[in-house]
Formats: sequence, structure tokens, C-alpha cells
Amino acid sequence: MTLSAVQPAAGLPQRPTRAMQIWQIIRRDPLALASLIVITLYLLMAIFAPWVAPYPAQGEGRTSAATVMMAPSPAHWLGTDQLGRDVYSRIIFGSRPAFVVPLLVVGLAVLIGAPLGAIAGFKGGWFDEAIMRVTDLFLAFPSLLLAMAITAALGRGLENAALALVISWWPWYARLVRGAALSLRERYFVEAAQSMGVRETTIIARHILPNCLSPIMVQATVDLGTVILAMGGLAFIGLGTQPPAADWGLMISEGRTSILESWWIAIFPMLAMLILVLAFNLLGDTLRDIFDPRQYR
Amino acid sequence: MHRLEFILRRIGTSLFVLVGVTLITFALARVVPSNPAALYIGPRARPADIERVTRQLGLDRPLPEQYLTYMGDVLQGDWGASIATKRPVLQELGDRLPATLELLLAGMAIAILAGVPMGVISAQHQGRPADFAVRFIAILGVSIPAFGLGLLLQIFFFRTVDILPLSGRIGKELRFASPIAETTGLLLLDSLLAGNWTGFRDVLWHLILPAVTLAAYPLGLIARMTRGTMLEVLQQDYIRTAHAYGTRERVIVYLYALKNAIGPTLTVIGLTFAFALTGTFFVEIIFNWPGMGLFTVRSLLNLDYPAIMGITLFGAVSYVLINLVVDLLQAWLDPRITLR
Repeated sequence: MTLSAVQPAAGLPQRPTRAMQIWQIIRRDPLALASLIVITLYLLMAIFAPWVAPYPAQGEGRTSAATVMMAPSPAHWLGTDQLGRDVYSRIIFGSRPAFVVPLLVVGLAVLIGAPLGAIAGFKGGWFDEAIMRVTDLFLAFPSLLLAMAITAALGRGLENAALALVISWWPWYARLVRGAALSLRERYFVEAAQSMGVRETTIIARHILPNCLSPIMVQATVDLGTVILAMGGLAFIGLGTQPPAADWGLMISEGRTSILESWWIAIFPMLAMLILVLAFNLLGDTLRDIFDPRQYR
Repeated sequence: MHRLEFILRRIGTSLFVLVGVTLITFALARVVPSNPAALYIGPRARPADIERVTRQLGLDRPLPEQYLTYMGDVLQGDWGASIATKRPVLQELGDRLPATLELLLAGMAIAILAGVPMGVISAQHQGRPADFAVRFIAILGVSIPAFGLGLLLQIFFFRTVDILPLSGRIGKELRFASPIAETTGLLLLDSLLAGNWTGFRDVLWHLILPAVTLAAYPLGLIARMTRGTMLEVLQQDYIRTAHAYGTRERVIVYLYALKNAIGPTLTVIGLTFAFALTGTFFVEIIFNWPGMGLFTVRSLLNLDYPAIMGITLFGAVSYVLINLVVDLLQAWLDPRITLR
């Protein structure tokens, strides 16, 4: 008899997948649902920026001498900046780095941190000790400060800022997954796999890592918001996205010099950032309630 | 016995981490950049200068030897000289420390004094309007970029209602009318010690907006953490027993429950110091606050490399020390920790 023969008989209710379970809970939580809608809208805005923005050329950086620092009006919903560019179009184009970079940063941090943490937690011994001491060193720096120093060493710009954030972010995931792996190691299904002689790499890849997904997902959701703030901060200082590209942090920095006369240049990008980060944080809170990561401590 | 062992072990790991931290700053200063000597001279480096600095910094030496010299210099307080000002980095930082410290302490004081009670009230009234209000403020606090909040506050309190100053640490007129004699560099304390009330009021007025801006993020984290741990503690049997004895609600919540809930909050407070430290960078730009943050940002933009590395090292060292203090404090509050 092969394993495929043991399938649920027709007519029996299928066990809902994990994604469906999550969706069922989010659907009943108005704040989480609203957050998910907001994030989806932002994502669509980022993808279709050239079609959504009223002035796509200005969104990408073209200046317009005739419309400098105009207050919000029907022609320019959110006003124009010091170089005459439509703030609304700039915000729409700014949502592109705001999405791509955090996804990339958090994704890479997970890809580096999670396997290292899983191996460390599962195998223990000198490897665990080494990984933990290395993360100790990285976590000894305030993460944004380390990212600033790395960006300064590599040269300013969006790519280097993103790389710097990956370097200062992966240790958090290594720690998180190690904690989860430590408790999973004692579970029966892992012991069973071990007693059957399954290779260690297979156990880690098939049994440990998939079961660490929930705490990773909770942390990653919140971190997407945090990385947006960090990227904004680096751009605000002048280390991240360089002009004339559109970036919310950069826009706030550009608008700061004329904040008292033309408040809209800085305040609207700030609101765009706030709303997206808020959505990630609210969604993260709901996910945290679903899978309490504390069970892995 | 256990406690002494714990303290010694904790100090030992901190020392290990501090050595490791210098390894990372060393790598960032000497190994990562393709031409470190050029970075140390600044943007207008001539080949002759590069050769001179290469020899001066020992960049032609093997890396382990370079590291040992670097460590020796750092330990002796020689953190290099800023390219922009030509003065020793440590001196530059020291001059600016009081301004940043005043801002940091004021911000953290607001965050703790408001955040902890907010978390307690929220837990006490779980599911009711007060709880929702606190949770909303807390999540707003961790979602708003500090540089954006600062601008918003400036627009409202300076431009719209005009009751607080826009930026700076003290008013221009005050510097002549009633100057503050600096002893500690913390102007609030100095003016108080000198009995200079006009000065005290002016400094306080200047401090409010930057401190509130800085407090937003830590306040959110502290309120959330306090709420979470308080919810757990309030469900415990000994709290029910206290209720059964007829102990007053306020005594139960603020004395018996909070005492046991404060541990994890302390850890968060230690961690938020790191956020607050980088937070001061943004707050200082927005409010033109003459502290280390303004110096840091200027150094970052001018590629003042010795200064950047000095600041990074300083930030990491103070962060490690703060966490050490928090851990020791926690062991003192809760002796069980030392047994783990």
C-alpha cells in the first residue's frame, strides 16, 4: 500500500489550509481587514504608478518651473513642491521603493537568518554557540546606527542602504528561529524522523523550518513597517534614495526647509508613510494574536 | 552566591561583546571600504596624502596588527580626529553629549511616566474605550516617523497656536539677558541650580516639542509591553486572593501587580534606549538641537569617516552598558532571574 492510498474519503470535509484559516480570522477582524485592504491599495498604486499618477513624468522627477510650491488645488490635489512637481504623483511613485525595498530587506534577512537559526537551534553545540555570539555582536548596535555606518562605508544610495539594513536585520530572525527550533527539537514528529534515520538537513528543511513559519510571518509583517520607517529615515538624512527619484523620506526632507509656508510638501508624504506602517503594524498585531510567538520561548 | 556569579557572568559577556563591537567597527573602518585612506582624508584626497595616511594609519600592515593598534588607540581614548573640524572625535562627542543626554532623558522620562500608567489603565479596562484609546495611541506612536511627527508638532504649536518655540535649545535674547552658567551642560539642571527662573522656563519651553517627538516611539512600545504583562499578572491567583481579602483596587494594581509586571517592561525600556539614541538624530535635525545627532548627520553627509566610526563605537558601547545596567537592575528586582 502506498501513502497516496490513504486519502480522505470523498464527502468528508477537507481540512482547511493554514492560509484559509488565517483568512477566516482576518475576515472577522475589522481593523485587520481594513489594514489588508489598505496594503492592497498601496500595492496596486505602486504597480500601476505610471497610470494612476496624474503627472507621471513629474512623479519620476521632471521639474516644472511654472507650478512651484502651489497649495493643494483641483489641478494638484496635494499641491506642488519647490521644483513644481505634483506631490500626489510623487507620493504614488514613492510607494514603489516603499514596497520593494522592505520586501527585499525582510526577505533577505529571513533567508539568511532563518536557516542559520534553525541549524543552530536543532544541532546545538559549537555551531549554536558561534551563531549566537555573532548575533550578540550585531545586536549590540542600535540597528539603524549600524545601518548608517555600513551605508557610509559602502557609499550612499538606495541599494547600499538596503544592503546595510539586511546586514543589521538578519540576526533578529536567526534568534527568533533558533528559539522556535529549540522547542521543536523536543517534539515527537522530529524525534520520529530522527529515529527513522532521516538526514539532518532534511529534518531541518522539511520539519523545523516549515513549523517556524508562523513566528517568522508575525515578525516579518511588523518588520515591513519598521523597515519602511528605517528606509525613510536613511533617505531623510540623505543616505538612502537620491534625488530626483521619488521617496517619501526624501520628500519629507525636501519639504522640511519650507515647512511653515508650504506644509503640504512634507506632511502628505509623512501621512502616506504613517498609514502604510500603521496598516502593517495592525495586521501584525492580529497575526500575533493568532499565533502567539511566546509559545516558542 | 548565585547572584554574585550571575553579575560576574553578565559583566563577562558584556566585555566579550564590547571587544566584538570594536571588531565590527574596525572592519567597517578598514576592511569594507575599498580605499580607507582616501576616506580618512576626505573628498579631496591627493595621491601623496593617501600615501602618507596609509603609512600613518598603518594600512600597509597585516590586518591583525592593524586591529591591535586600533584597539590600543581606542582604549587610550584616541578615536581619531574629525576631518571637518580637525578636533579629536571623542572631544567633539563629549562637547555635544550634554545636549543629547538632556533630550534623551526628557524623552525617556515622558515615555516611561506616560507609557507605564497607560499600559496599566489599558489592562485594567480591557476591551473598554480606555483600552482602545491607549492601544490606538501606542500603535500610532510606533508607526509615525519621528521626523514627520516633529514637523507636525512644529506646524501646530509654533505656526498655528504659537505657544512654543520652533527650534533650538534656548532663546536668542536669553543668551544676553540671563545667560545660564553651565556646570553640567544639562541646561534644565544648570538653570535650576543657579536659581535662574527665566532661563529655566525658556529651556523647558524649548525642550517640550523635541522631547515629545522623541518619546512617541518608546512610549508606544512601553505601553504595549506593560499592557501585555499586566493582563497576564492580573489573572494570577494571588491577585484574586488579594481581591478576596478586600484589598483596595489601587493597591492591588499599582503595588502587587505592577511590581511583578515591570520586569519585561524594563527590558523594553533598555531596548528603546537604542531607538531613542538614533531617534535623537532625526529630532535634532528637525529642531536644530545642538547635540551629537546633528554632528552625526553632518559627518555622515560629509563622509567624515573618523567621526562616523567614533559615533558608531560610542553608540554601541553605550547601548551595551545600558543593557548591562538594565539586566543587573532586573536581577536586583527579581532574584529568581539569577537562578536561570
